[in-house]
Amino acid sequence: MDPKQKYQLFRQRKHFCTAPWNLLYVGVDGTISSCTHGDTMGHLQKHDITEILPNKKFKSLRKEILEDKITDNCRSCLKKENTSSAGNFKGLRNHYNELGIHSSVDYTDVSQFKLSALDLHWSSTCDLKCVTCWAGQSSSIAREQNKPVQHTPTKVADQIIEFVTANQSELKEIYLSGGEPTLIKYNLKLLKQIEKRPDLIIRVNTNMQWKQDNKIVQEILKFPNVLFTCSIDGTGKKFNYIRRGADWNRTLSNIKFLQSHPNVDIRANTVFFVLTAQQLPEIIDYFMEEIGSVDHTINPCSMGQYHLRCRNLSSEIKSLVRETLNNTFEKYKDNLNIAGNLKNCLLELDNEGSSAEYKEYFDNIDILQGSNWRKLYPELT
Amino acid sequence: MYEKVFFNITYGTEIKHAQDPHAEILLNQKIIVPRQPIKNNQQVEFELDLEKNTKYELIIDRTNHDGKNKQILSIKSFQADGIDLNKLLNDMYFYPQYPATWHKQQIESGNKWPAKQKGWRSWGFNGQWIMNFESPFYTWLLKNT
Repeated sequence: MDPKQKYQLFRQRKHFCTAPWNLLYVGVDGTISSCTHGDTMGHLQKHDITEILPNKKFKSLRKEILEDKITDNCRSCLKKENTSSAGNFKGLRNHYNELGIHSSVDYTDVSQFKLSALDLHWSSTCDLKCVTCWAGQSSSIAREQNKPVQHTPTKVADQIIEFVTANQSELKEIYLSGGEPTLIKYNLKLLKQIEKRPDLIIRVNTNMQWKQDNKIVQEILKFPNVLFTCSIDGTGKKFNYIRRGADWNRTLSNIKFLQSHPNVDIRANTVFFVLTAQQLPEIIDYFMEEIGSVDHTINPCSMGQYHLRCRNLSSEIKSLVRETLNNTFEKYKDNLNIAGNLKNCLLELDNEGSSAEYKEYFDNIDILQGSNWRKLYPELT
Repeated sequence: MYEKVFFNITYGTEIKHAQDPHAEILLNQKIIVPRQPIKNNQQVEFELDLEKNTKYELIIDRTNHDGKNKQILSIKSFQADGIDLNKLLNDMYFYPQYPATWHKQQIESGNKWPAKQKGWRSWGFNGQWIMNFESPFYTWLLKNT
């Protein structure tokens, strides 16, 4: 497309996002969405991928984005970047727009799609039952609760693999999530067919409980540019409690293993909820200063676990947390991601909430696994 | 020609007991805007005809400083096709020609004056401001802003 027109779209429109033209997002059951925050655009069990990408829903979304509208599909993402940021943090679309700079797609054509980024969640297969997670994203929790396990059918996964393999020339990023991506066999099948290019980044969101000879991990490590995001919601016994089934020592051993690979960067990811609120600054410092993490993301508590949100903490604990988070914000104010995320945490603390439902929730978990959360977090009881 | 880009530069000047600063604009050593005295708030407009996939060097050659009196030339505004590119100035370099005697004294006193100054948009010395870019101009701009 005309370079000037492209510049104007990227830099002079308020709400432009390349994701609908460049990102293939696959959900745990094989549905295609516009992005992690966006709506479902089609079901691969009903339609072929080449039918979904230029379908009515996609075309209409692209048309509205070209008109610089705040679409229903994008509203929550845009709202986040405009109201909950540290000032300069621009949110997810900036990430995709950076990748889109190199795309040959004509953004003025609403029927076009050219693959730049792949976001794969295509199975809930996971060996952990983290207290912040739910049956839809962890097969272990689904089994514990006698609920169906979400998994993309093999035929659908094969279709995705075939499409990505054939359209990989401009691919800049593969994001593997889940479930636990090192347990999802489709990832191995796909990665084996992807060229190990230095301009392609493999991002892995992992629970860090894999064995070091895991075939998927080994295949990932063949790529020249890899970023492991480690899910860390505590250290030591607190980590083991929150990430049910995980072992902190194994996490440390796997971090050491990853540190020995020069093609790998490490970052951490922490959920901000009642059990992590007080330890958060310590976790961030540990990863940024001792592990050498390149960044740290703090996610809000979602997945239906609203009773675990920090708004439900007592006012005493809230003010303690607010004080330490403000200090941490000052410390990391030049890191736009951390600063923006901490600002979101501080905003969460400003919400009113008095539900003590989380205590019952953890008591029930203790019954299931014979643990004692009250001993680990006496200040919350 | 592959691409035409229309530039508009607004200069500023601050002068005390000195003549007006002079400026000449060149693209890859070819004169685009001949040397002329610059007044405060003066606008200079010019169009660049760019070849496909080519590296370019846009130069403002600033002269007529006597090496003694206050005479500052600055870029107040920098636009391409009406698009504000002022932010881009932060990443460009000015290569000052320091007055020889003064520069020698400064070095002897332990003051370091680098051969190029990043982000300088007010120039109290003679010298060259250089913007290196590539065509297509807007693809380069997208990657660098």
